[in-house]
Amino acid sequence: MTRFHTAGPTQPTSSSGLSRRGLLGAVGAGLATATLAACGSGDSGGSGGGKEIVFMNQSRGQAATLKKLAQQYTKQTGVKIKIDDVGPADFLTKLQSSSQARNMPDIYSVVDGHSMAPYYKAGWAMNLTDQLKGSWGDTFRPATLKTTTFGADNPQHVKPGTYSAHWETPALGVFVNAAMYKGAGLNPDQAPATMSEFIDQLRKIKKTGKGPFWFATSLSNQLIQSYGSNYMSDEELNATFVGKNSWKSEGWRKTLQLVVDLRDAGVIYNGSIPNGNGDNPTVEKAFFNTQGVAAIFDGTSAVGVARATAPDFTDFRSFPLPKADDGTQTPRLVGGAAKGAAVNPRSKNADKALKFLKWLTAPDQQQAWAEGVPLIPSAQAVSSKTIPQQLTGIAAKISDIQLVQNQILEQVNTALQKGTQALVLKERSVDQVLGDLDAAQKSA
Amino acid sequence: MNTLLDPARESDTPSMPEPTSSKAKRRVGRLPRIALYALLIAGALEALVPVLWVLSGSLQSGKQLYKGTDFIPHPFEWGNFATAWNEGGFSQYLPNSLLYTTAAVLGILVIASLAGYALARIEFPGRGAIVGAILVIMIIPLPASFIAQYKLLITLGLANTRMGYILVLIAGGLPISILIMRGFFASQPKELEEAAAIDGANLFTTFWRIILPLARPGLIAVAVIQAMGVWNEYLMGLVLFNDSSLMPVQRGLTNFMSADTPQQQILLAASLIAVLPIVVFYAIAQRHIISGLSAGALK
Amino acid sequence: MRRRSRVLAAWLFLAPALAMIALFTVVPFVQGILLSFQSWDGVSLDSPFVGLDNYRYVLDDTQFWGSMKNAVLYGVVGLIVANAVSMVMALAVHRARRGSAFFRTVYYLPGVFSTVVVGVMFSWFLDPNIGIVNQMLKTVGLDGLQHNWLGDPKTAVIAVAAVFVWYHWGFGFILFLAGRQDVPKELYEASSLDGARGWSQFRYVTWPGMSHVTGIVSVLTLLSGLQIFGTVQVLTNGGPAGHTEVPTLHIYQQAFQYSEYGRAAAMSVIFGLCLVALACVQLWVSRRLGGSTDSRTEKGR
Repeated sequence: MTRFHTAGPTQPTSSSGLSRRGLLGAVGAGLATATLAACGSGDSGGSGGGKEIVFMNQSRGQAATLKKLAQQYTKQTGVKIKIDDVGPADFLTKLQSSSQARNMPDIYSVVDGHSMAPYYKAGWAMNLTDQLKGSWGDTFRPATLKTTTFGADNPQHVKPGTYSAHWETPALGVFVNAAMYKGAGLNPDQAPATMSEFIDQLRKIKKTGKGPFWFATSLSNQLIQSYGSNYMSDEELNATFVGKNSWKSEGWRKTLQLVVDLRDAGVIYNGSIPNGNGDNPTVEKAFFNTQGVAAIFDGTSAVGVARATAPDFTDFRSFPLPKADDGTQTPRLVGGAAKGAAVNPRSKNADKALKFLKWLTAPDQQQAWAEGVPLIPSAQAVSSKTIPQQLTGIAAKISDIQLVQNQILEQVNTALQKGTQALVLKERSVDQVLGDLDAAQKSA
Repeated sequence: MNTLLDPARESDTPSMPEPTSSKAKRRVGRLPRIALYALLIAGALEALVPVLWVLSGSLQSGKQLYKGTDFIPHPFEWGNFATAWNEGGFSQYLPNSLLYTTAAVLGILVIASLAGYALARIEFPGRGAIVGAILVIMIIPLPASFIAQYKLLITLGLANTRMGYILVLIAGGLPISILIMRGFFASQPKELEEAAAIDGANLFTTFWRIILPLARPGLIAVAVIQAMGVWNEYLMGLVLFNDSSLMPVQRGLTNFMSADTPQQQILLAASLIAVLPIVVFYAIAQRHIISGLSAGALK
Repeated sequence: MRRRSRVLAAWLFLAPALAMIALFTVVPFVQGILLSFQSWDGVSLDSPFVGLDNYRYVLDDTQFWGSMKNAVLYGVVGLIVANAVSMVMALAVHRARRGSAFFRTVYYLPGVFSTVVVGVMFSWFLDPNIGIVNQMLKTVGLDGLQHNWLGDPKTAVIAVAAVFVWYHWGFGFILFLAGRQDVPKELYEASSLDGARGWSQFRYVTWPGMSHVTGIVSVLTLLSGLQIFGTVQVLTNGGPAGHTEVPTLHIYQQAFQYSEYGRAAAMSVIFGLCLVALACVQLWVSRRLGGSTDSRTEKGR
């Protein structure tokens, strides 16, 4: 369930020769015992404390840019960097087993805060709070710093502070197919002023025979968190996420009503939202590749996916999720997990790794990230020219991103995703789903 | 169990007698034979059509595949296989997996047939308890037990070694293999062993000379099942090895399993490369099931 | 004296297997059981004992227990449909004189692919708009049968079960085929002299002759159906709205998504004990069936 997608070619892992004797011994002798004896043991010199800095990388889409930057760093400073490309599907498994073997890399990718919390609690990440107070911290957008910092009330019980530094400020919004909009007599360059206007647009698109609107089950919690900012302040959202406020409130009731409204307007493509491991790729495929749907809710990283799989299709626009008609607050974008890294303080290379991380997140390098991946950088100084034009709609509002320190608990996310599907299927009411969310929050 | 019988009865057309005797063969009429082959071909289509799509998809361009509406590639992108081979590091991983699979399957066959024989044929106190314990271990799937296994291998100094990986593979394949071998030994006639015992041959000699050759179909079945399991093992290979030069073939596949870099056509090509050895092995081994049986038929 | 040496031999025969299993399986197994009484986030070096807290949590987890009924459904589908398909096809291939090598190889093919590939494959087949299933229905003029297979709760359950059967029946097929070829030909010759044909031959010769294979295959398919995981995860991830949820998915979520390894271990123990009980019943039933029919075989001889 990779939620955020970026593109770029995969890097082959470095290859070295296999022990031929071991293999021939096995085939020739044909005896298990002989094979066992013939098996040479590999070099067990693990990562951490070696001459080179070992970076365990989670992202495939950013691997090429990371490798390029690392080579550049080696050229400049002479410090060697080994990139261990584990890949998104296996990253947490490998990181977990490395921690159990006390064989952690010097620097490693971070994913969402909930998954990373156990590592921070176990002391596998350098507390960067003081480091970020100086000039390094000033280069970042305040939103990025705030959303990647563990606050005093975090439900994961991590010691308050910042443990990772990021070179991306992702955001989620709506992407629309410009040709389909024009085909329905609509102007794709003018973002709808309200949700009811957006739903009207979708109705018109439906009449042209195209699929109106789609989003992945795994992104339904982001959609709802984004829309919730119409009715609740960041503090109120945060209070729900940490369990201080109940989900059964007027704000959340109105927020979930969005799913009901979309359902009743008949503008959800096929009348259901895709599920399964590849739900968001399914949505992206329907939008970018087969062009069967006119509007989707997705992360900014979708543009990278589009570049890789549908390079000819560029005629689409983006804008933040339209404002609620009866909203009491100015809606704010939802961010999501940004790409970044943490430094292993137990490594002998910790200082070198920290220097490398500082360099990676500096504005000059963020320029390279933005162009190579592409992404919306986390540094304030990076020129907006590097941002692809399809993202300008969302990027224009990036300063309005939600400053909600804590994320929805994973247990509640599961209930929220299930509840969204149940609302679409008319199996549960808004109040029942809110009850499920409270129950999930409590049981966690 | 009765429900099990019903569907079997429906298709196992009662008018068709056993063709193994020459008299019976002549009695197979044209119509039942057509029905038989219609069933076989329907089964083949059911199994093959999705697989053919993997083949078709592996030869399409990414653009065509993502459109998702074509079955025939145009043009044929043979280069996908070269890309998969190179980016997947198969020249490195394939020999590793061949080694691991050969060693682990041989180890499993030797150890499981010894144990299966003892459990099937020798009466001793504690026999039932051992079978029960094997069953329980096989059935309860504990999460994250790979971490405990991994820590154990570190303690034994076997982390990041081929030896450690093979031992884990053997241990993982043993429970079900023992139970299968026990079943096969139990189904064999006792007469030959009893004759051998009268001749004064000891138990080990009887086992190697008489029992094991007769158990060939069982051994082949275990080998086929375990070869597939070992070949497809992934988690321990990921956790155990830091050194990519030691990793098995499944690692090569994961280079393409990411929504980050959607290269489904390469993933499909890589999957075909990764399964080809096991399919070839099976295609050869299934002939041996026949020859193993014709040897068994002499008993 | 002779008996004692046989007992000694038995333990010698068993020694390598027991040593391997004890070291690599029992040790982690016991640690896993202990984990069900501990609280562990998967990373911390500290995992305090919490008594029966995890078990209490699992007993109250209505979703976990609710998902059991899907597991039973898939188990029954595995036991009946997958077994029936495997056995019928094994008997058919055994009977075929031409192309049997081809059929044996082809039937085994689906099971060799990884679940990721199976997921990619069937998500594409079952896609409501561009999927081959709906496209084919359209081509043959059956537009009315087009369906949102994985989006509709009713068909999602069936679709997952169908993919499961497709993925798994080749495995039972090999074992049944091996078992069928193991039934001595003399029994058939003797029974056809007695005038037994068709169904009665199946009932009194083939079925009892294959009883031990049927027992093994039944237990294995029942268990793999009850423990279904990969197929569900890639196709629906438990959706839509929880209609395809299974216990293994819950266990996976507890451990790897929520970092609650203790609770996951407690769920595994409870779920595992249910499986053991079912497997024992299954074995007992097939042994009884096998036992009664074995005596008949003896008579037939």
